[in-house]
Amino acid sequence: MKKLSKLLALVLALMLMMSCASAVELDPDAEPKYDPFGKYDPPITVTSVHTASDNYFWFYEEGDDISNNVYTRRWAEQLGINYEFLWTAPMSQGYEKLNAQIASPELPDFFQVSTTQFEQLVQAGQLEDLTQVIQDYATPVTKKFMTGEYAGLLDAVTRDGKIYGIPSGTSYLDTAYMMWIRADWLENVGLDAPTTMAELEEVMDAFVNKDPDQNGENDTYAIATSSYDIPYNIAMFNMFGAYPYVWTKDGEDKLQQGMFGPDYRDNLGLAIETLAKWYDKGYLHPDVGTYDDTMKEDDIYADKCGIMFGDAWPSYWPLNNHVLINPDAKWRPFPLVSATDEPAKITATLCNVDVVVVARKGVENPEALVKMTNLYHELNTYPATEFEVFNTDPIDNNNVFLMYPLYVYNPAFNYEGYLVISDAMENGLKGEMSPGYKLYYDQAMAYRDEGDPNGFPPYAAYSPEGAFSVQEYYVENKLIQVNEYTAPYSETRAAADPVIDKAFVTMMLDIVTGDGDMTKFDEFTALYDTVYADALAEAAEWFQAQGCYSLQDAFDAE
Amino acid sequence: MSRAVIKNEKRPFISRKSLPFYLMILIPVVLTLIYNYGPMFGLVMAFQNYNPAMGFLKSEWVGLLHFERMMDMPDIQEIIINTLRISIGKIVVTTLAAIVTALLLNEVRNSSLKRFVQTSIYFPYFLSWVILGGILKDILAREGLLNQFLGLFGMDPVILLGDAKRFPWLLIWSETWQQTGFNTIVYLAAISNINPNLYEAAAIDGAGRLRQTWHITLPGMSTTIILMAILSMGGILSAGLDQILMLYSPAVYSTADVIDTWVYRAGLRSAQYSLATAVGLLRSIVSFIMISLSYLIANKTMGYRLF
Repeated sequence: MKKLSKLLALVLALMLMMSCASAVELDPDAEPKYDPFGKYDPPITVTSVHTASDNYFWFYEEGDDISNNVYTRRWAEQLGINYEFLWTAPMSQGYEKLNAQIASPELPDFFQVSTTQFEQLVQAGQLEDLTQVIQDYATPVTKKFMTGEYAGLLDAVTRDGKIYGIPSGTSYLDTAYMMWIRADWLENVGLDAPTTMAELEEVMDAFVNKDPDQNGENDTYAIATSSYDIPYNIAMFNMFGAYPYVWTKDGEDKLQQGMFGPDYRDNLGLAIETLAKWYDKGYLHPDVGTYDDTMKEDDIYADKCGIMFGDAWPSYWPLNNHVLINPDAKWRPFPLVSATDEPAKITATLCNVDVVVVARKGVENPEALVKMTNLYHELNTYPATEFEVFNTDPIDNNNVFLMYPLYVYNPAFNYEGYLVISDAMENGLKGEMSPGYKLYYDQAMAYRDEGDPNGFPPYAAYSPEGAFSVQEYYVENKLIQVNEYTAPYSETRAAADPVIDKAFVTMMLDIVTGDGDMTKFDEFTALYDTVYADALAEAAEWFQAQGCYSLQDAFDAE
Repeated sequence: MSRAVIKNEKRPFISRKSLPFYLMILIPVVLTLIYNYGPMFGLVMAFQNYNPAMGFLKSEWVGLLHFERMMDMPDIQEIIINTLRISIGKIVVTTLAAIVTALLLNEVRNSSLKRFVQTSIYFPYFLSWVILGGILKDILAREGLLNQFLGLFGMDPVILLGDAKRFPWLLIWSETWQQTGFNTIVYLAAISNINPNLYEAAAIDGAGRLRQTWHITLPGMSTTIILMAILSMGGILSAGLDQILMLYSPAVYSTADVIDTWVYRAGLRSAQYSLATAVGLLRSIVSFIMISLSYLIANKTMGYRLF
């Protein structure tokens, strides 16, 4: 009997261990076991670092600086946590400095790292396992962004069933790809917003030849872009049915790149040929091959072009500057037209981690990190009680939260904000709105009703005619091409990508600004097949190890 | 040739006379040992897949993988040719320009004019390429100053920044403009070392200005010229990353992409410590060979010695 019960215990233990080896289960609705905002008495001190100390800090109150500000004071007062910086560095040096710190034996207690740095630290066993403290201390808000739709974010920071950091990232709802066109120029040339490729070409032709800025001279062109933008402009290639930066299924058990894979070569070729034609017709600036982003922006500000292919955010940069200079410039977002018979799909990664907030192994109070995150979310995310103080300054849209070294991005903010704000703009404000959204609502209304150019960015993003309405169109019609390859970036790819990048960029600019000779394209695809073979094999291996589970199929089936 | 060394007298290694000199170089030597020789240990990174969190001792060893990877790249030949073309072009043109400028300046009698010119051509040396690059891009743009100027004469706009064939010349000439001031000063110093009696003797023999330059000034400068050339040969695989990064664009990759810019772009995706170290190691080895070779050649053909 004793032997049997021992065996049973062993089997039970094994089963328990095996179930723990799979993904961690967090219950987003469960209230935490311990006080999520429990104050430390006596107060504790934790160390951190700041890697972007030169940005956006001109709105400090009198006498404040990065070590003494609304965040440090509130954290000390409410949580009994004093956070100190081992060092701070401006953005241009911060990443390198953190790399140097990682190589040294002394890590800060809590800090924010890139996904590459996270990989390195995890492999070296230098991060504290946060599974237990998250389960015991995290508020439902904190857990919301690691479960459900965002479970992908949590998976990316979990190894062998243990959570090694708090992920901060985006979901596919956070941005979309679209065309930004000057509606005032459309009016001036008497055309509607294009819904087909033919109409788009008509619009571009008018922008070049029909003096849309009405200054008496034909000195304008159509598309604002630069030599660094045009080779991988996601929106532009999506129009043609090619998908930069994502991987899709190749048959049933392999993966291919959405830009260079065999299924997309015809579309890619079509894209390049069409761009070459557009270049010849003057839709692109003749110097596009040497243009950098500053020159592209200068042209926008000088009213030289009227179309931009981008994501949901150009209204925050650079178009916001343009509207400040020229308040009559009515940049508006539109869904992509399609060069093929099917409506254009946009690329998206279902969950994409940008940075990870981690704790070094052996830190004394790991739960402090969870409490800090809880408080951060309460002030910034939901219920965002003090959004204007801790997140975004209402007058100049400055990002106050950047002074906090451990911020966690709210991936639901934008899409939910759009739903709330555009509803209020159409149907009137009903009841309380979260302070974060209220800020943008007020600004958007100021632009709509009084033409206040400071309200242009939120208007162009969150209003019923804004970028997220375009996002909604793609989401509702399921016009999304999902990235299948979610493994961490590997050495093999790091070796092959720069070669392919250079070859592609050179080939593409050559053809577009040159004689349109597509034999170079064929040479490129041949080169790709040779150089990328190892990376493709590696991807297929990974995909098969995942049981050939296709995120796209799952997404389409929902 | 001009040092008087008493070869037969035995001199103690450290004497009262030489002690101050030893003390003076003690600190620089120690610093060199710490900051230049010490870090050489880090060269092991070139043979590993270096992970900063694991350090030198625990990162995975991969032997010559990075070197093989470099050599296997399809455009490695083009990259090396670009590097050499730009480097050698720069060395030749900057040396010639500095020599000519030094010779010309030497002829100026008015010393305040001489000093004024010297200072003004020295000035660009202090400007970083971040600034100069931005300025040049503005001037050379399609609607920039240069083309506006040409337009006054009814000439078509000239495309320099985007023309792969002309771009290396742009790099060479702009570098010359930046560096000539500095190099000129070195050559002027060399010229001032020449014994003025030699000129008088030559004038008596009926030599004109040009002959004097050819037979006296240039040979008198030759030691310095060769020294400067040997030193530059060491940097032959490094073609001026700052400048190229600021001025180049994908339109001119075919002639402007050099080893450093390639490594820079490769490192943008993931921290490529090992690759960058491997490239650096390769460069140092080539530099070492080049300097040794140049010195050997100068020694054998001209009896040139440093020690």
